[in-house]
Amino acid sequence: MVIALVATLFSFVLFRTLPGDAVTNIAQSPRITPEVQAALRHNFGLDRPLWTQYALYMRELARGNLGVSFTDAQPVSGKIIQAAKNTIPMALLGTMMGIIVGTIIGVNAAYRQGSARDRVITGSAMILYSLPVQWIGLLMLVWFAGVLPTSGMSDPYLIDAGFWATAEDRLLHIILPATCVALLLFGAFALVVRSSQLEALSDDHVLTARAKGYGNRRVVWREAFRSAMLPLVSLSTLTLGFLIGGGILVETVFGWPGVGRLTVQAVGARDYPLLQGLFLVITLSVVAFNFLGDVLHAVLDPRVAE
Amino acid sequence: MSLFRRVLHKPTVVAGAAIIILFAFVAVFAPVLEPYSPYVPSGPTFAPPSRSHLLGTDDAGVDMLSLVIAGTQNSMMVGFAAAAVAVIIGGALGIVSGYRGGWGETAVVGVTDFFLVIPALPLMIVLAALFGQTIFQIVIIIALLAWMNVTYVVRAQVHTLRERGFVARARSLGAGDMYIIRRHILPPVAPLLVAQTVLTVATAVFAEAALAFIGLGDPRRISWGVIIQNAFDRTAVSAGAWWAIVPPGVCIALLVLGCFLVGQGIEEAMNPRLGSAHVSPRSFRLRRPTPEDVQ
Repeated sequence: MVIALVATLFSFVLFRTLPGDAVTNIAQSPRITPEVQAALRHNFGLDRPLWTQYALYMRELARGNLGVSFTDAQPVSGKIIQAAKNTIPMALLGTMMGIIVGTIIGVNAAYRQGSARDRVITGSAMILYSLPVQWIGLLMLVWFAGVLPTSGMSDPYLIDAGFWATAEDRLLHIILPATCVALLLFGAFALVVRSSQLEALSDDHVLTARAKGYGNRRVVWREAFRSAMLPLVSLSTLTLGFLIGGGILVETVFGWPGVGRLTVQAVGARDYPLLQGLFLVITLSVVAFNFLGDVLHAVLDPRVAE
Repeated sequence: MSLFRRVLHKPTVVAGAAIIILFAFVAVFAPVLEPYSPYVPSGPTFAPPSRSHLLGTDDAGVDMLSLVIAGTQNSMMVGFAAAAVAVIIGGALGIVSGYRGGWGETAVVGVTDFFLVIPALPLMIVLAALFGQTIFQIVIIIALLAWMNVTYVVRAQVHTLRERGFVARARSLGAGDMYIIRRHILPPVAPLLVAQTVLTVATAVFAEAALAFIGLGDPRRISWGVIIQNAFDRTAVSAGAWWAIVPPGVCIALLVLGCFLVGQGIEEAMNPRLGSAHVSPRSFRLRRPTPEDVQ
């Protein structure tokens, strides 16, 4: 909560440190007299003390008003909501894929620490982890061009198609970006799962389970993995929060019309209100997901709640 | 120097250091090593790798090998400069706040926590968009978002040092704070600072590539990130010119891997508990460190 408040203040101050203000830009037009400029400043509330401006900003923020975009005078909040609707399915699908594959592979690597399989997995996870994601995406573009749709969210020529055709189109479009997100996350997930699974496997309760004669599968998955899951849960929520804005590179490569791509467009057009709104939304979603992660952690592990 | 010895005995550290030194060598001697000019076309458009152009040419017919070598120079420069600034900021904050304690420490911890939560890439984009994108500004922007790890790690270390007997004895003999920090705090923290510098180089190179890809790189300088961005913007994909895409990514990955290996090797040598297998993900730093990692 405190961090969220500080974040609003931070984004307010950050964008106020710009040389000039909203009116300076308009004032480049030659017919604008100083009187008009002053009137405009007064209308925008820019002549009031900064604290009042911040209070106004917060009041409008509480109403969900993020201002209007410089480029097309549309409300910023509407644009962001639209983009978030596109980002969320892609980020969710990618994260799910990353978690599932990362978990299976991480648990497998931990099964025999130091074995050839473990080394290969750890090594490749580490290499994948050091590759820039935009580069992975570009290579996917090269490989899959012509096989799968590589850009955008839907086929613009697909008009009035039936439900199934539309669904198929959407699905085909989401595969590449979601896989790219999964590849971006997979290395980190596999390594985290591996290390927490290693720790869990050496716990007493796992030894007890083995002594009871339970099969390998049950010991590894039901006994050990259950306690190894905690770091994974907090990492997953953090990742989701991060992906709302952190999918910037993936969305740029695949032309996915989400929050990240909107950010890049806002930068390109120097659309400061939009950029400010995006930055705020991205930060707040990270904070929110952090909080969610803490809550989930406390639910799963009662020791934390105390 | 037993720590130094122990570090050098790890094959992973030696391999990582060799990678970094190799890239440093290429960066320093870039103008000599470039077979062609990285600015002037020297062959046909998108020529595949051949004997005269070992890595082929890009969309304008510029030799890829020369581009990558020129890119090495700028990427390494951004990486090391940003890491140096970040470690100086982070190290100073960590040492002073860890040593002095009190409200100053509380404030530093608060600010660090705040910067750790803020998503780094969006903030970097905003800063670069607001304040400009010359190479100097990019270095500062990356450094501003990379110092928090250093502060955390250093502060924890200084905390344990502060309680040790030799510090208390020095103080009771009337030694000043600056003297204690210089003589008793800095030497044991120094290897940690080196490890953090190397790890931050990896973060910085990544960050530079990300910014460049969004079009916020220094347009007058060739870096690995800029080469990747050019490949994306200028139809290398539809031309199927993989040779215009692969080399800069491989360079980034190699350098980042080298930095990870060295940084981790030093940290493990300082704290042997960290490393059980030859690669220990316990100390693996995530792109965005979670609070659990840093504690």
